[in-house]
Amino acid sequence: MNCRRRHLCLFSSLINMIYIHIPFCLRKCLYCDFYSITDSSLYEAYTEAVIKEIKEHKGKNVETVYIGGGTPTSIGDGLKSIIEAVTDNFYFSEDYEFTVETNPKTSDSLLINEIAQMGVNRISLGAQSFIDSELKTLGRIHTSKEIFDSVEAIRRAGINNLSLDLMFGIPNQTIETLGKSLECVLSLDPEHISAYSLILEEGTPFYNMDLSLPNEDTEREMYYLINETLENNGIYRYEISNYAKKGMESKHNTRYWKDYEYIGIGAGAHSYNNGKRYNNVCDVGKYITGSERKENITFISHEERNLELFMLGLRLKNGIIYNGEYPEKVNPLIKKGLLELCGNNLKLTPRGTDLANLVFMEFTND
Amino acid sequence: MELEKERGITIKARAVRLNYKAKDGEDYVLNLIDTPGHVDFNYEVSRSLAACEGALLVVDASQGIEAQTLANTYLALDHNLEILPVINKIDLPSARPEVVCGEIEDVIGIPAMDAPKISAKQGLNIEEVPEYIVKNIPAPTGDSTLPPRALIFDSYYDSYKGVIVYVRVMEGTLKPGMRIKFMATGGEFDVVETGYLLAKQMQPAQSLSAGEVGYIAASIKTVRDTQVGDTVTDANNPAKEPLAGYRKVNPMVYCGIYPADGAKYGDLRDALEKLQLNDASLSFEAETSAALGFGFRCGFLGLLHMEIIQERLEREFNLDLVTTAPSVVYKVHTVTGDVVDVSNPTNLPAPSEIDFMEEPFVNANIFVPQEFVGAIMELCQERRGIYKGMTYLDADRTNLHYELPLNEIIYDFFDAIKSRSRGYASFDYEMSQYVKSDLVKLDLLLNGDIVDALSFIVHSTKSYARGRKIAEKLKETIPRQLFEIPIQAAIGGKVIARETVKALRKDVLAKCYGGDITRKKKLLEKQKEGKKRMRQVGSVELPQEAFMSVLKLD
Repeated sequence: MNCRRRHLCLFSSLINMIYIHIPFCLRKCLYCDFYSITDSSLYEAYTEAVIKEIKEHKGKNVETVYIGGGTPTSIGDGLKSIIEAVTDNFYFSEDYEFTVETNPKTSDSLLINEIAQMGVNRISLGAQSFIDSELKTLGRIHTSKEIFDSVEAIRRAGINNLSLDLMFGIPNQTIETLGKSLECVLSLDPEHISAYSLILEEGTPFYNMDLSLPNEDTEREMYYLINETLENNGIYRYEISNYAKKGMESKHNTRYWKDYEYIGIGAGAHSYNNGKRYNNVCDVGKYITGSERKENITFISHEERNLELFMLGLRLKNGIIYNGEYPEKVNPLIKKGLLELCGNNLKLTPRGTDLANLVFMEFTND
Repeated sequence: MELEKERGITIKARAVRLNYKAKDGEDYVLNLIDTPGHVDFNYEVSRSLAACEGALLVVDASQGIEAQTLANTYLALDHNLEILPVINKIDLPSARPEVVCGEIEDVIGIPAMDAPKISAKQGLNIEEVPEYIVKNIPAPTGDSTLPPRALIFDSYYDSYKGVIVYVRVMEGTLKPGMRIKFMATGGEFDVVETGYLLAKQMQPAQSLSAGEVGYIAASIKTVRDTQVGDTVTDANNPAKEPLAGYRKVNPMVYCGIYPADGAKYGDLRDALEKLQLNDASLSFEAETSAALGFGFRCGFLGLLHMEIIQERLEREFNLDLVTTAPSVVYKVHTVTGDVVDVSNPTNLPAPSEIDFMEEPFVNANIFVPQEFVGAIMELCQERRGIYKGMTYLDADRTNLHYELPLNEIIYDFFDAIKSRSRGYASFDYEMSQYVKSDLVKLDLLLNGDIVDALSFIVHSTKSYARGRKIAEKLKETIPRQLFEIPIQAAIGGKVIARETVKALRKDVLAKCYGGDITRKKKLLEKQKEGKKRMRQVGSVELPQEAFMSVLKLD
């Protein structure tokens, strides 16, 4: 990576986090409601369009870059061109974090090596489960063994900040199979884990399928098992669904929860820029032609922003610094045992973590 | 009314004036009123009949005579009207007009040989109907020079003109500028406008005189001054006696209606007053509930009537309502010898004060094809019906007579009859008498507290099964909350059924990153909206449907 990343430009805007969306996958997973397509003929044109958008923000200081999807590694050379454009056009801080999402089917050692050489220093690998039958149920295209192979490739490329995605509440999953997956996770010694409970989203194949899902009680037991197992092994929960070794928390994602502004690049990418939230047009074809790219522009008022600080900040384990705002909302929630004050920090109680929506919804518009 | 189109039924009577040049070369004015058929709206029918000289009995050529056909014929006979049968829907493939004519002669006993056989939908033979009327129905009598007497048969509230009353002038003449008096309420007003009710609009006219039907606008702002059935006369030259008017209707079914938002109590009262103008069979009085706050106990002629009123309140007045389970009027004989009418289970005296209770029974006629007689009889037995006999309408159809407790038929009896006869049976009833009965009050407790709005009165043989069912239903309708909620059904102090709504274990969005924030915020706002619509009862949040779960038995 060239030396520009070490010299911050003093006059660039305050936003220093960039998200780049690559809405392509080799195949769609059955539970996924993100917009992504499998048409490889669009890779090249899409790459060009993204690079064009990156150049619009030329000269920005960045502390974190996150390339997500979809599966960014599925477009191969396109991804390399995009990473090159990023490093050419932005000024990186000393302690920058540059994450690329990948999955075990598209993480060949050559590609991982190359992107690591180009400056990517964090990989988020979609493992989801280490039980092959569960991976099949989810419509994942990889096996448990391929996760191990990918992690080996990632480590060999010199990446020392690896995050694994894990899923629970999978159809037919049991406490036992989850335990096995957790053992595998620990054997790979990742720095970071995101563990999500499966949500049936409208419009996904799963939504209309007759699935044997673990019930609410089992699902919570799974959540507690993950907490306990990981924390016993030095991987601490710092957000509702995120765990990390000390100091290895995702800088990029933590900024979302602290309500920082960000710029999203690519089809369907959301931005929070200058007090406005908006998103790029989702459709890849329309994005490539570039007409009317920004949609749903919403101005976030001062009041709304204050509410968002709670709705997002309370997702973090340590919550937010509390100075007595919204006592009419906060006090009843403390009384109900959903929130607690620890010194100056207002945070979710363990019960509040299970029922966080009851807390968050108090901090939305009436 | 939009609601009538949706449900395919007539709810409101509609009056219309028709100028007709008959084949004999004369010009006639025909005043027609279309009325509903369902038993719940027969007050609309009887009021209209009182304003008429004759009645067209419209019978469906494929369905034949139904239970309500008979009931409405009797109403017309009570008013000494000329009854003319008309066979409609002859365009239907299953139409059998000749057979239906025979039925009319056999079952009702009126000649039907000359009945026009028409299709109103396709316009077939409809020209026969006005001829038929002109030939057979006597012209109104009544002296236009006498002091005026006009019968109010309907009214409604117009936001510009105030209350508009629909009248049939029996004697004398009413015209703008005249000071009129409502003989029962004593209210006096100056007539601003009189006119005719045409098919598509109201047409102002110089006057309304004996024999005519029309409307009067007199800047009447207070809804309470006008009463359907009252007689309008000249304040300066009043008639000596009012017209016979209407028998006051007694509501058969009561339920509590509360605004979902307590602050809308005044709006609800306003809406009920205005609706009552348009539907004189609706009655209401203020009541309070520990669970629901301030609201009204409303009386209806039946469950369909109740449903329609609820919907009209919600649609026409834009109100969000919570309604309690319907109840009939029980007569409670206390140990001190008093008789108390109880239509709200909450007001039932303590068991130690009750000597015995009586419940209302109805005489029911159920017209049913032969093959479903068994199924319908079984249904009537289940509903504590007392078999009174049966008559044969024709080779294939039977009229079953039963005495049935009203509280067994107000819920879902109509639907049950339809479903057990594949839609072929029809049903009509009239009040018969109060009968001593073994009744108990069933309470429902949430988190240990009785929710008054959920209590109801039930026959003791059915109390256990009902208690269990409702507890189960409540368990389904009440969403999981922060704490476990025990649901109990109890009679007196004795718990007869128990269910538990388990505490909520999980309600959390697993993911929320930059691209999710807007969408997740919307989801949370929607969830909050839903929570707001719940009723806080003690420590428990109840959805509006919970109050109706007492109704849903199957």
